[in-house]
Amino acid sequence: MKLENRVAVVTGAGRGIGKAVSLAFAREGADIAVASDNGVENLAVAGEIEQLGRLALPFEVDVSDPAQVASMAEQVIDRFGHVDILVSNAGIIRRGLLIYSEDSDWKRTIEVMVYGTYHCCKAFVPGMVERNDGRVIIMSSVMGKMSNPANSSYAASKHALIGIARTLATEVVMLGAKGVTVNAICPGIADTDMVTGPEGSMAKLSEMLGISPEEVWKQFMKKMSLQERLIEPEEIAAMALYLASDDARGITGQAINVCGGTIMH
Amino acid sequence: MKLDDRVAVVTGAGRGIGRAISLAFAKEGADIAVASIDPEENEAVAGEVRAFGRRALPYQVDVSDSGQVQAMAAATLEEFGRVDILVSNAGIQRRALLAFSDEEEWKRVIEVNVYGAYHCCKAFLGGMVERNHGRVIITSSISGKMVNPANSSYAVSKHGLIGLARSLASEVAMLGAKGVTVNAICPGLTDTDIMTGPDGNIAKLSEMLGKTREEIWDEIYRPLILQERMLKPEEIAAMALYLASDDARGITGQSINVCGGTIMH
Repeated sequence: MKLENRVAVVTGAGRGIGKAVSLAFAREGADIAVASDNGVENLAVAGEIEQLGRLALPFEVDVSDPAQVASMAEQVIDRFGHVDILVSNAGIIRRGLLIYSEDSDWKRTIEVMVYGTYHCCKAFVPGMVERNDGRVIIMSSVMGKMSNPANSSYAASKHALIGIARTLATEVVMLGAKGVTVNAICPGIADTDMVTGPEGSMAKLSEMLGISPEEVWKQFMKKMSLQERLIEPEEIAAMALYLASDDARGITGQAINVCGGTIMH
Repeated sequence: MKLDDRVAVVTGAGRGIGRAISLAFAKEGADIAVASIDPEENEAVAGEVRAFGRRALPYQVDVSDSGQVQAMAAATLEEFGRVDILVSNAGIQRRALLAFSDEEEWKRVIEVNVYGAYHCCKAFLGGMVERNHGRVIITSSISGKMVNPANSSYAVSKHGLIGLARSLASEVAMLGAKGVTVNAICPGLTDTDIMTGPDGNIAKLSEMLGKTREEIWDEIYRPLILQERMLKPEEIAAMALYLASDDARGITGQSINVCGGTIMH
Protein backbone atom coordinates (compact mmCIF):
# COMPACT_ATOMS: atom_id res chain seq x y z
CA MET A 1 0.00 0.00 0.00
CA LYS A 2 1.19 3.48 -0.80
CA LEU A 3 0.55 5.20 2.53
CA GLU A 4 0.98 2.37 5.00
CA ASN A 5 0.59 3.70 8.57
CA ARG A 6 0.87 7.32 7.51
CA VAL A 7 -1.24 9.87 9.32
CA ALA A 8 -3.11 12.44 7.25
CA VAL A 9 -5.13 15.49 8.23
CA VAL A 10 -7.73 16.38 5.61
CA THR A 11 -9.72 19.59 5.96
CA GLY A 12 -13.02 20.02 4.19
CA ALA A 13 -13.20 16.24 4.52
CA GLY A 14 -16.96 15.95 5.03
CA ARG A 15 -17.87 15.71 1.37
CA GLY A 16 -16.80 16.22 -2.22
CA ILE A 17 -13.08 16.26 -2.94
CA GLY A 18 -12.04 16.12 0.73
CA LYS A 19 -14.13 13.01 1.32
CA ALA A 20 -12.73 11.35 -1.81
CA VAL A 21 -9.16 12.19 -0.71
CA SER A 22 -9.80 10.80 2.80
CA LEU A 23 -11.16 7.52 1.46
CA ALA A 24 -8.41 7.15 -1.18
CA PHE A 25 -5.76 7.66 1.51
CA ALA A 26 -7.44 5.24 3.94
CA ARG A 27 -7.67 2.60 1.23
CA GLU A 28 -3.88 2.89 0.86
CA GLY A 29 -3.27 2.41 4.57
CA ALA A 30 -3.42 5.86 6.13
CA ASP A 31 -5.15 6.94 9.33
CA ILE A 32 -7.14 10.12 8.87
CA ALA A 33 -8.16 13.15 10.89
CA VAL A 34 -11.45 13.99 9.19
CA ALA A 35 -11.85 17.73 9.65
CA SER A 36 -14.62 20.03 8.54
CA ASP A 37 -17.13 22.43 10.04
CA ASN A 38 -19.89 19.84 9.76
CA GLY A 39 -19.83 17.36 12.65
CA VAL A 40 -22.43 15.05 11.12
CA GLU A 41 -20.59 14.71 7.79
CA ASN A 42 -17.28 14.15 9.61
CA LEU A 43 -18.79 11.24 11.52
CA ALA A 44 -20.14 9.66 8.36
CA VAL A 45 -16.78 9.86 6.57
CA ALA A 46 -14.98 8.61 9.69
CA GLY A 47 -17.31 5.60 9.67
CA GLU A 48 -16.39 4.82 6.06
CA ILE A 49 -12.70 5.02 6.95
CA GLU A 50 -13.13 2.64 9.88
CA GLN A 51 -14.87 0.22 7.52
CA LEU A 52 -11.65 0.24 5.49
CA GLY A 53 -9.85 -0.90 8.63
CA ARG A 54 -8.12 2.38 9.40
CA LEU A 55 -8.35 4.80 12.30
CA ALA A 56 -10.35 8.00 11.92
CA LEU A 57 -10.61 11.06 14.11
CA PRO A 58 -13.60 13.20 13.18
CA PHE A 59 -13.00 16.79 14.19
CA GLU A 60 -15.32 19.74 13.84
CA VAL A 61 -13.29 22.84 13.02
CA ASP A 62 -13.59 26.27 11.45
CA VAL A 63 -10.13 26.54 9.89
CA SER A 64 -10.39 30.32 9.73
CA ASP A 65 -10.05 30.35 13.53
CA PRO A 66 -6.40 29.82 14.57
CA ALA A 67 -7.37 28.71 18.08
CA GLN A 68 -9.62 25.95 16.73
CA VAL A 69 -6.88 24.79 14.37
CA ALA A 70 -4.33 24.79 17.20
CA SER A 71 -6.67 22.75 19.36
CA MET A 72 -7.27 20.34 16.45
CA ALA A 73 -3.51 19.93 16.03
CA GLU A 74 -3.15 19.13 19.71
CA GLN A 75 -5.82 16.44 19.60
CA VAL A 76 -4.55 14.92 16.36
CA ILE A 77 -1.01 14.66 17.78
CA ASP A 78 -2.46 13.29 21.01
CA ARG A 79 -4.32 10.59 19.12
CA PHE A 80 -1.87 9.68 16.33
CA GLY A 81 1.50 10.91 17.64
CA HIS A 82 2.46 12.79 14.47
CA VAL A 83 1.13 13.99 11.12
CA ASP A 84 2.76 12.93 7.84
CA ILE A 85 0.37 14.50 5.38
CA LEU A 86 -1.68 17.69 5.47
CA VAL A 87 -4.36 18.14 2.84
CA SER A 88 -5.62 21.70 3.15
CA ASN A 89 -8.80 21.41 1.20
CA ALA A 90 -11.54 23.32 3.06
CA GLY A 91 -13.12 25.93 0.84
CA ILE A 92 -16.21 28.03 0.36
CA ILE A 93 -17.61 30.19 -2.40
CA ARG A 94 -19.51 33.49 -2.20
CA ARG A 95 -20.49 34.56 -5.68
CA GLY A 96 -20.90 38.23 -6.52
CA LEU A 97 -19.56 40.99 -8.77
CA LEU A 98 -16.65 42.62 -6.96
CA ILE A 99 -18.11 46.12 -7.12
CA TYR A 100 -21.44 45.02 -5.63
CA SER A 101 -20.06 42.44 -3.22
CA GLU A 102 -20.63 42.38 0.49
CA ASP A 103 -17.35 43.15 2.33
CA SER A 104 -17.94 40.47 4.92
CA ASP A 105 -18.79 37.79 2.31
CA TRP A 106 -15.80 38.68 0.17
CA LYS A 107 -13.41 38.58 3.10
CA ARG A 108 -14.94 35.42 4.53
CA THR A 109 -13.81 33.53 1.42
CA ILE A 110 -10.22 34.72 1.94
CA GLU A 111 -10.41 33.89 5.62
CA VAL A 112 -11.54 30.30 5.13
CA MET A 113 -9.28 29.41 2.24
CA VAL A 114 -6.14 31.54 2.63
CA TYR A 115 -6.05 32.02 6.41
CA GLY A 116 -7.39 28.50 6.89
CA THR A 117 -4.50 27.07 4.90
CA TYR A 118 -2.06 29.37 6.67
CA HIS A 119 -3.29 28.22 10.08
CA CYS A 120 -3.11 24.54 9.13
CA CYS A 121 0.37 24.83 7.63
CA LYS A 122 1.58 26.66 10.73
CA ALA A 123 0.10 23.98 12.97
CA PHE A 124 1.30 20.87 11.10
CA VAL A 125 4.42 21.74 9.07
CA PRO A 126 6.85 22.24 12.01
CA GLY A 127 6.58 18.56 12.97
CA MET A 128 7.23 17.57 9.36
CA VAL A 129 10.29 19.82 9.22
CA GLU A 130 11.57 18.33 12.47
CA ARG A 131 11.28 14.79 11.09
CA ASN A 132 12.41 15.92 7.61
CA ASP A 133 9.50 13.99 6.20
CA GLY A 134 6.08 15.15 5.14
CA ARG A 135 3.65 16.16 2.45
CA VAL A 136 1.55 19.29 2.20
CA ILE A 137 -1.14 19.24 -0.47
CA ILE A 138 -3.16 22.40 -0.93
CA MET A 139 -6.39 22.45 -2.89
CA SER A 140 -6.22 25.38 -5.25
CA SER A 141 -8.29 25.40 -8.46
CA VAL A 142 -8.10 26.27 -12.12
CA MET A 143 -9.50 29.54 -10.76
CA GLY A 144 -6.05 29.94 -9.18
CA LYS A 145 -4.71 30.51 -12.68
CA MET A 146 -7.55 32.19 -14.55
CA SER A 147 -10.37 34.70 -14.34
CA ASN A 148 -13.58 33.78 -12.55
CA PRO A 149 -16.17 36.48 -13.20
CA ALA A 150 -18.66 37.19 -10.39
CA ASN A 151 -16.39 35.15 -8.15
CA SER A 152 -13.35 37.34 -7.51
CA SER A 153 -12.91 36.35 -3.87
CA TYR A 154 -12.68 32.71 -4.91
CA ALA A 155 -10.18 33.45 -7.71
CA ALA A 156 -8.15 35.68 -5.39
CA SER A 157 -8.04 32.96 -2.72
CA LYS A 158 -7.12 30.20 -5.13
CA HIS A 159 -4.38 32.32 -6.76
CA ALA A 160 -3.03 33.07 -3.29
CA LEU A 161 -2.92 29.38 -2.39
CA ILE A 162 -0.50 28.77 -5.26
CA GLY A 163 1.67 31.52 -3.78
CA ILE A 164 1.58 29.78 -0.41
CA ALA A 165 2.47 26.41 -1.94
CA ARG A 166 5.42 27.76 -3.91
CA THR A 167 6.78 29.82 -1.04
CA LEU A 168 6.35 27.16 1.64
CA ALA A 169 8.03 24.61 -0.67
CA THR A 170 11.07 26.86 -0.70
CA GLU A 171 10.93 27.67 3.01
CA VAL A 172 10.91 24.06 4.21
CA VAL A 173 14.11 23.52 2.24
CA MET A 174 15.65 26.68 3.72
CA LEU A 175 14.85 25.10 7.08
CA GLY A 176 16.81 22.03 5.99
CA ALA A 177 13.82 19.74 5.40
CA LYS A 178 14.32 18.50 1.85
CA GLY A 179 12.13 15.53 2.68
CA VAL A 180 9.05 17.71 2.95
CA THR A 181 7.23 18.58 -0.27
CA VAL A 182 4.54 21.20 -0.73
CA ASN A 183 2.28 21.24 -3.77
CA ALA A 184 -1.06 22.53 -4.94
CA ILE A 185 -3.66 20.75 -7.04
CA CYS A 186 -5.82 22.79 -9.39
CA PRO A 187 -9.03 20.89 -10.07
CA GLY A 188 -11.21 21.92 -12.94
CA ILE A 189 -14.97 22.08 -12.57
CA ALA A 190 -15.72 19.02 -10.47
CA ASP A 191 -18.91 17.15 -9.67
CA THR A 192 -19.24 18.38 -6.07
CA ASP A 193 -21.89 20.30 -4.15
CA MET A 194 -20.10 23.55 -5.00
CA VAL A 195 -21.04 22.99 -8.65
CA THR A 196 -23.93 20.51 -8.81
CA GLY A 197 -25.40 20.73 -5.30
CA PRO A 198 -28.72 22.44 -4.46
CA GLU A 199 -26.82 25.70 -3.73
CA GLY A 200 -24.11 25.06 -6.30
CA SER A 201 -22.93 27.19 -9.21
CA MET A 202 -25.27 25.50 -11.65
CA ALA A 203 -28.39 26.06 -9.55
CA LYS A 204 -27.34 29.63 -8.73
CA LEU A 205 -26.64 30.58 -12.33
CA SER A 206 -29.83 28.88 -13.44
CA GLU A 207 -31.80 31.01 -10.97
CA MET A 208 -29.88 34.25 -11.75
CA LEU A 209 -30.28 33.92 -15.52
CA GLY A 210 -33.71 32.28 -15.61
CA ILE A 211 -32.53 29.30 -17.65
CA SER A 212 -32.49 25.59 -16.88
CA PRO A 213 -29.45 23.94 -15.25
CA GLU A 214 -28.99 22.02 -18.52
CA GLU A 215 -28.78 25.33 -20.39
CA VAL A 216 -26.28 26.64 -17.84
CA TRP A 217 -24.14 23.56 -18.45
CA LYS A 218 -24.39 23.91 -22.22
CA GLN A 219 -23.81 27.67 -22.39
CA PHE A 220 -21.25 28.26 -19.64
CA MET A 221 -19.59 25.13 -18.36
CA LYS A 222 -19.39 22.49 -21.06
CA LYS A 223 -17.11 24.57 -23.26
CA MET A 224 -14.76 25.29 -20.38
CA SER A 225 -13.28 21.82 -20.55
CA LEU A 226 -11.78 20.20 -23.62
CA GLN A 227 -13.29 16.95 -22.45
CA GLU A 228 -16.70 18.61 -22.01
CA ARG A 229 -17.40 16.89 -18.72
CA LEU A 230 -17.21 17.44 -14.98
CA ILE A 231 -14.19 15.99 -13.19
CA GLU A 232 -15.00 13.31 -10.62
CA PRO A 233 -13.76 13.89 -7.04
CA GLU A 234 -11.95 10.52 -7.32
CA GLU A 235 -9.75 11.93 -10.10
CA ILE A 236 -8.56 14.72 -7.79
CA ALA A 237 -8.09 12.20 -4.98
CA ALA A 238 -5.89 10.08 -7.28
CA MET A 239 -3.57 13.05 -7.84
CA ALA A 240 -3.50 13.83 -4.11
CA LEU A 241 -2.59 10.19 -3.45
CA TYR A 242 0.17 10.38 -6.05
CA LEU A 243 1.61 13.54 -4.50
CA ALA A 244 1.39 11.98 -1.02
CA SER A 245 3.25 8.84 -2.12
CA ASP A 246 6.99 8.19 -2.22
CA ASP A 247 6.83 8.24 -6.03
CA ALA A 248 6.36 12.01 -5.86
CA ARG A 249 9.31 12.77 -3.57
CA GLY A 250 10.89 14.90 -6.31
CA ILE A 251 7.80 17.03 -6.94
CA THR A 252 7.61 20.23 -4.91
CA GLY A 253 6.42 23.79 -5.40
CA GLN A 254 4.11 22.72 -8.22
CA ALA A 255 0.48 23.58 -8.96
CA ILE A 256 -0.84 20.68 -11.00
CA ASN A 257 -4.01 20.96 -13.06
CA VAL A 258 -6.54 18.12 -13.12
CA CYS A 259 -9.11 19.76 -15.31
CA GLY A 260 -9.82 17.93 -18.54
CA GLY A 261 -7.84 20.55 -20.42
CA THR A 262 -9.58 23.73 -19.20
CA ILE A 263 -6.23 25.46 -18.84
CA MET A 264 -2.73 24.36 -19.82
CA HIS A 265 -0.40 26.61 -17.84
CA MET B 1 -2.26 -3.80 -12.62
CA LYS B 2 -2.50 -0.30 -13.95
CA LEU B 3 -1.73 -1.01 -17.60
CA ASP B 4 -3.05 -4.55 -17.98
CA ASP B 5 -2.54 -5.66 -21.60
CA ARG B 6 -1.94 -2.16 -22.91
CA VAL B 7 0.52 -1.66 -25.72
CA ALA B 8 3.07 1.13 -25.40
CA VAL B 9 5.64 2.50 -27.81
CA VAL B 10 8.55 4.15 -26.03
CA THR B 11 11.18 6.03 -28.03
CA GLY B 12 14.61 6.65 -26.61
CA ALA B 13 13.91 3.45 -24.68
CA GLY B 14 17.46 2.09 -24.70
CA ARG B 15 18.57 3.82 -21.53
CA GLY B 16 17.93 6.52 -18.97
CA ILE B 17 14.36 7.79 -18.65
CA GLY B 18 13.04 5.81 -21.63
CA ARG B 19 14.33 2.55 -20.19
CA ALA B 20 12.88 3.34 -16.76
CA ILE B 21 9.49 4.08 -18.35
CA SER B 22 9.57 0.86 -20.39
CA LEU B 23 10.26 -1.19 -17.27
CA ALA B 24 7.71 0.66 -15.11
CA PHE B 25 5.03 0.08 -17.77
CA ALA B 26 5.97 -3.58 -18.21
CA LYS B 27 5.81 -4.09 -14.43
CA GLU B 28 2.20 -2.84 -14.61
CA GLY B 29 1.23 -5.21 -17.38
CA ALA B 30 2.01 -3.45 -20.67
CA ASP B 31 3.68 -4.84 -23.78
CA ILE B 32 6.37 -2.52 -25.10
CA ALA B 33 7.84 -1.53 -28.43
CA VAL B 34 11.35 -0.64 -27.27
CA ALA B 35 12.51 1.94 -29.80
CA SER B 36 15.82 3.75 -30.03
CA ILE B 37 18.69 4.31 -32.37
CA ASP B 38 20.87 1.74 -30.54
CA PRO B 39 19.86 -1.87 -31.31
CA GLU B 40 22.05 -3.41 -28.61
CA GLU B 41 20.46 -1.28 -25.92
CA ASN B 42 17.02 -2.04 -27.36
CA GLU B 43 17.70 -5.78 -27.12
CA ALA B 44 18.89 -5.45 -23.53
CA VAL B 45 15.80 -3.49 -22.43
CA ALA B 46 13.53 -5.86 -24.38
CA GLY B 47 15.08 -8.71 -22.37
CA GLU B 48 14.27 -6.91 -19.13
CA VAL B 49 10.68 -6.30 -20.30
CA ARG B 50 10.28 -10.01 -21.12
CA ALA B 51 11.63 -10.91 -17.70
CA PHE B 52 8.45 -9.28 -16.33
CA GLY B 53 6.43 -11.71 -18.44
CA ARG B 54 5.47 -9.12 -21.03
CA ARG B 55 6.06 -8.98 -24.77
CA ALA B 56 8.70 -6.69 -26.20
CA LEU B 57 9.50 -5.54 -29.71
CA PRO B 58 12.98 -4.04 -29.92
CA TYR B 59 13.08 -1.64 -32.85
CA GLN B 60 15.98 0.37 -34.17
CA VAL B 61 14.79 3.75 -35.41
CA ASP B 62 15.95 7.27 -36.09
CA VAL B 63 12.77 9.18 -35.20
CA SER B 64 13.88 12.21 -37.23
CA ASP B 65 13.26 10.11 -40.37
CA SER B 66 9.53 9.92 -41.09
CA GLY B 67 9.98 6.86 -43.31
CA GLN B 68 11.61 4.95 -40.48
CA VAL B 69 8.88 5.97 -38.04
CA GLN B 70 6.18 4.82 -40.45
CA ALA B 71 7.95 1.49 -40.86
CA MET B 72 8.13 1.20 -37.07
CA ALA B 73 4.41 1.91 -36.79
CA ALA B 74 3.65 -0.81 -39.34
CA ALA B 75 5.89 -3.31 -37.52
CA THR B 76 4.37 -2.42 -34.12
CA LEU B 77 0.81 -2.80 -35.37
CA GLU B 78 1.68 -6.11 -36.97
CA GLU B 79 3.19 -7.38 -33.73
CA PHE B 80 0.65 -6.00 -31.23
CA GLY B 81 -2.46 -5.09 -33.25
CA ARG B 82 -2.75 -1.58 -31.82
CA VAL B 83 -0.97 1.05 -29.73
CA ASP B 84 -2.57 2.48 -26.57
CA ILE B 85 0.29 4.61 -25.31
CA LEU B 86 2.95 6.60 -27.09
CA VAL B 87 5.86 7.86 -25.01
CA SER B 88 7.82 10.21 -27.24
CA ASN B 89 11.02 10.41 -25.27
CA ALA B 90 13.95 10.22 -27.72
CA GLY B 91 16.16 13.24 -27.33
CA ILE B 92 19.66 14.52 -27.97
CA GLN B 93 21.58 17.62 -27.11
CA ARG B 94 24.45 19.48 -28.79
CA ARG B 95 25.85 22.11 -26.46
CA ALA B 96 27.10 25.39 -27.98
CA LEU B 97 26.60 29.11 -27.75
CA LEU B 98 24.03 30.02 -30.38
CA ALA B 99 26.32 32.61 -31.97
CA PHE B 100 29.09 30.06 -32.50
CA SER B 101 26.96 27.00 -33.07
CA ASP B 102 27.28 24.71 -36.05
CA GLU B 103 24.10 25.08 -38.10
CA GLU B 104 23.80 21.42 -38.86
CA GLU B 105 24.23 20.38 -35.23
CA TRP B 106 21.75 23.01 -34.02
CA LYS B 107 19.13 21.82 -36.48
CA ARG B 108 19.83 18.17 -35.73
CA VAL B 109 18.56 18.71 -32.16
CA ILE B 110 15.30 20.16 -33.50
CA GLU B 111 15.00 17.32 -35.98
CA VAL B 112 15.36 14.56 -33.40
CA ASN B 113 13.50 16.17 -30.50
CA VAL B 114 10.70 18.07 -32.28
CA TYR B 115 10.34 16.39 -35.68
CA GLY B 116 10.80 13.03 -33.97
CA ALA B 117 7.81 13.68 -31.69
CA TYR B 118 5.84 15.04 -34.66
CA HIS B 119 6.51 11.92 -36.73
CA CYS B 120 5.60 9.59 -33.87
CA CYS B 121 2.39 11.46 -33.00
CA LYS B 122 1.40 11.40 -36.65
CA ALA B 123 2.11 7.69 -36.94
CA PHE B 124 0.33 6.51 -33.77
CA LEU B 125 -2.41 9.01 -33.02
CA GLY B 126 -4.76 7.96 -35.83
CA GLY B 127 -5.55 4.64 -34.17
CA MET B 128 -6.05 6.25 -30.77
CA VAL B 129 -8.52 8.79 -32.15
CA GLU B 130 -10.36 6.06 -34.02
CA ARG B 131 -10.78 3.99 -30.83
CA ASN B 132 -11.33 7.16 -28.76
CA HIS B 133 -8.79 5.83 -26.33
CA GLY B 134 -5.12 6.53 -25.84
CA ARG B 135 -2.32 8.33 -24.09
CA VAL B 136 0.43 10.47 -25.57
CA ILE B 137 3.23 11.34 -23.17
CA ILE B 138 5.98 13.60 -24.42
CA THR B 139 9.22 14.03 -22.52
CA SER B 140 9.91 17.75 -22.50
CA SER B 141 12.18 19.22 -19.81
CA ILE B 142 12.44 22.11 -17.40
CA SER B 143 14.47 23.50 -20.32
CA GLY B 144 11.06 23.71 -22.00
CA LYS B 145 10.18 26.46 -19.52
CA MET B 146 13.48 28.16 -18.68
CA VAL B 147 16.82 29.32 -20.03
CA ASN B 148 19.56 26.83 -20.81
CA PRO B 149 22.70 28.78 -21.70
CA ALA B 150 25.02 27.26 -24.28
CA ASN B 151 22.21 24.85 -25.10
CA SER B 152 19.69 26.93 -27.05
CA SER B 153 18.77 24.17 -29.50
CA TYR B 154 17.81 21.95 -26.57
CA ALA B 155 15.76 24.69 -24.87
CA VAL B 156 14.08 25.57 -28.18
CA SER B 157 13.21 21.95 -28.90
CA LYS B 158 11.87 21.34 -25.38
CA HIS B 159 9.80 24.57 -25.48
CA GLY B 160 8.49 23.38 -28.84
CA LEU B 161 7.37 20.07 -27.37
CA ILE B 162 5.14 21.82 -24.84
CA GLY B 163 3.48 23.69 -27.69
CA LEU B 164 3.03 20.42 -29.49
CA ALA B 165 1.48 18.71 -26.44
CA ARG B 166 -0.96 21.57 -25.78
CA SER B 167 -2.05 21.87 -29.40
CA LEU B 168 -2.43 18.15 -29.92
CA ALA B 169 -4.47 17.83 -26.71
CA SER B 170 -6.94 20.34 -28.17
CA GLU B 171 -6.91 18.75 -31.59
CA VAL B 172 -7.83 15.25 -30.43
CA ALA B 173 -10.81 16.73 -28.57
CA MET B 174 -11.77 18.66 -31.73
CA LEU B 175 -11.64 15.34 -33.58
CA GLY B 176 -14.12 13.97 -31.06
CA ALA B 177 -11.66 11.74 -29.19
CA LYS B 178 -12.09 12.94 -25.62
CA GLY B 179 -10.74 9.60 -24.44
CA VAL B 180 -7.28 10.49 -25.73
CA THR B 181 -5.05 12.62 -23.51
CA VAL B 182 -1.82 14.34 -24.49
CA ASN B 183 0.63 15.60 -21.88
CA ALA B 184 4.26 16.54 -21.45
CA ILE B 185 6.54 15.75 -18.52
CA CYS B 186 9.26 18.25 -17.65
CA PRO B 187 12.02 16.42 -15.79
CA GLY B 188 14.59 18.41 -13.90
CA LEU B 189 18.25 17.42 -13.85
CA THR B 190 18.16 13.65 -13.91
CA ASP B 191 20.81 11.05 -13.32
CA THR B 192 21.10 9.91 -16.94
CA ASP B 193 23.89 9.87 -19.51
CA ILE B 194 22.92 13.37 -20.72
CA MET B 195 23.91 14.65 -17.27
CA THR B 196 26.31 12.18 -15.68
CA GLY B 197 27.53 10.02 -18.59
CA PRO B 198 31.05 10.18 -20.02
CA ASP B 199 29.83 12.74 -22.61
CA GLY B 200 27.30 14.30 -20.25
CA ASN B 201 26.90 17.88 -19.13
CA ILE B 202 28.93 17.51 -15.97
CA ALA B 203 31.90 15.97 -17.81
CA LYS B 204 31.66 18.53 -20.62
CA LEU B 205 31.50 21.54 -18.33
CA SER B 206 34.27 20.14 -16.17
CA GLU B 207 36.46 19.98 -19.28
CA MET B 208 35.35 23.39 -20.67
CA LEU B 209 35.85 25.26 -17.40
CA GLY B 210 38.84 23.36 -16.04
CA LYS B 211 37.04 22.37 -12.85
CA THR B 212 36.40 19.06 -11.18
CA ARG B 213 33.06 17.34 -11.65
CA GLU B 214 32.30 17.90 -7.98
CA GLU B 215 32.90 21.65 -8.44
CA ILE B 216 30.60 21.72 -11.46
CA TRP B 217 27.86 20.05 -9.41
CA ASP B 218 28.41 22.28 -6.36
CA GLU B 219 28.76 25.58 -8.22
CA ILE B 220 26.48 25.23 -11.24
CA TYR B 221 23.88 22.52 -10.83
CA ARG B 222 23.17 22.07 -7.14
CA PRO B 223 22.05 25.70 -6.59
CA LEU B 224 19.44 25.27 -9.32
CA ILE B 225 17.56 22.56 -7.44
CA LEU B 226 15.62 23.17 -4.27
CA GLN B 227 16.15 19.59 -3.14
CA GLU B 228 19.85 19.79 -4.11
CA ARG B 229 19.84 16.39 -5.74
CA MET B 230 19.46 14.83 -9.14
CA LEU B 231 16.19 13.12 -9.98
CA LYS B 232 16.21 9.37 -10.54
CA PRO B 233 14.87 8.11 -13.89
CA GLU B 234 12.38 6.05 -11.85
CA GLU B 235 10.76 9.25 -10.53
CA ILE B 236 10.06 10.40 -14.09
CA ALA B 237 8.80 6.92 -14.96
CA ALA B 238 6.37 7.05 -12.00
CA MET B 239 4.80 10.22 -13.43
CA ALA B 240 4.63 8.68 -16.92
CA LEU B 241 2.89 5.65 -15.41
CA TYR B 242 0.45 7.92 -13.60
CA LEU B 243 -0.36 9.83 -16.79
CA ALA B 244 -0.76 6.56 -18.69
CA SER B 245 -3.19 5.13 -16.10
CA ASP B 246 -6.96 5.50 -15.92
CA ASP B 247 -6.50 7.71 -12.83
CA ALA B 248 -5.21 10.47 -15.11
CA ARG B 249 -8.11 10.40 -17.61
CA GLY B 250 -8.93 14.02 -16.76
CA ILE B 251 -5.40 15.37 -17.25
CA THR B 252 -4.68 16.67 -20.74
CA GLY B 253 -2.69 19.49 -22.31
CA GLN B 254 -0.48 19.74 -19.23
CA SER B 255 3.28 19.93 -18.87
CA ILE B 256 4.10 18.61 -15.42
CA ASN B 257 7.40 19.35 -13.72
CA VAL B 258 9.20 16.56 -11.85
CA CYS B 259 12.24 18.57 -10.87
CA GLY B 260 12.80 18.77 -7.12
CA GLY B 261 11.56 22.35 -7.19
CA THR B 262 13.89 23.80 -9.86
CA ILE B 263 11.00 25.69 -11.43
CA MET B 264 7.43 26.21 -10.26
CA HIS B 265 5.55 27.38 -13.34
